[in-house]
Amino acid sequence: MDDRLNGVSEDELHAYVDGLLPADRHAAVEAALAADPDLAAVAAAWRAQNDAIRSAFPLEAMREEDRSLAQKARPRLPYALLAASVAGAFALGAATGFGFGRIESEPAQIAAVDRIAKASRANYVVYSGEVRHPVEVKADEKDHLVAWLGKKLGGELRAPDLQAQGFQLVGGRLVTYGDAPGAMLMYQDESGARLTMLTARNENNGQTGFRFDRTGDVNTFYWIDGPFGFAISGAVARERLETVADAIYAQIGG
Amino acid sequence: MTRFEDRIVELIPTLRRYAASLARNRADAEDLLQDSVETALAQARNWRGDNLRGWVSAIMTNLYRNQWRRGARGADVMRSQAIVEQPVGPDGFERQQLLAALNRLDPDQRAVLMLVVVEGHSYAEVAAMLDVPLGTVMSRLSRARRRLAEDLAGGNVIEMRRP
Repeated sequence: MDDRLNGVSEDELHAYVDGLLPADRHAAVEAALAADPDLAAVAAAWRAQNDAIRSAFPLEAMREEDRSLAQKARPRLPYALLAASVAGAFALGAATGFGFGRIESEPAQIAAVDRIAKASRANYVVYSGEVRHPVEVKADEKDHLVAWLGKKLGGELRAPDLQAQGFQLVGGRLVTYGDAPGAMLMYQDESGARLTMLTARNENNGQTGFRFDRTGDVNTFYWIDGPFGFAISGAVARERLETVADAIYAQIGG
Repeated sequence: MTRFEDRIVELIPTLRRYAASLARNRADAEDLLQDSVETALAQARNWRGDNLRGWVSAIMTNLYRNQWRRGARGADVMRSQAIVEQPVGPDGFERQQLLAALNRLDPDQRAVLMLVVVEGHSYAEVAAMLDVPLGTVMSRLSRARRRLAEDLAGGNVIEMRRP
């Protein structure tokens, strides 16, 4: 094909169909196309290809998809963003306060204890919907799991036994909590309903009572106990989640 | 100054478009988008403050290529033989033909074609994003166009000819 380019390089032909050709080469390329119908056919075919590709991925359809996902009960992406932006905001050195812009209209100031509720809810929303990879380490490696996560947190981690409440351990994963590690454990009942429990180091040692948050259809109980903050989240009734939170507190506290 | 997260959120429709243009199907596109946004937010510190969209697109391209290389797409290649939900966008026979042909492209060639055609980056920008010489960008683009044209032509039973 090179011998038929009439002084126009193939790179220039690409640039021409992509609208990237410098203005001072336009005349030369158009003259070459006019002189060579085969070359003109190649350029026309590439241009048609470009048009077909662009119209296959219209931006408006992507915006529509965003809107439709945002209206579903468990929008994956904005919550993933939320989870990651908890980490991101800390990484950026924002010590206090980060609104989530158009995602949520929460007040900018978030108390330390409320941070863990937010992070836990985000973890729940991101990971409980995962079919392929809900956890990094499965429950059949429970000893390894708690040892590994505990080491990351710098303390002893215990996986509460929630069988009396109808939940089996699925497994766990390391998550980010601010710029520090957090441990997420996942439980599931017979109906497939999942709970996620977040444990993270709490900078201001102290103690709080149980606190409750309901956002969308996700309920969260959370509290701080000594060096750790805890939160349990799930789309289950408040009363049932409270019995779970009580069981966790009883097994871990003290 | 607009905060980093807000700017990422604003970019999501264009990032979704790029993910759709790379992925084999809707689920993979959503995974790719989510992984890319998470990575971008986690690596916010490494952003040098210019061309955020190009920076996140480069992250997405790397994730896409790594997934391909690791062979994690094996199951999806199997699945692609069956009916899979196409990436977000209009329906239609011609689009399906096009998507099928795109799925047969080499991933590196596909990424270059999409960065230029769909995302509108210059060749030099693509070379910088992928950290390859300009000549490599041009040869991938050329191969992608020729391969795609051959593939689509082969799929058409009737070739239209003007008298």
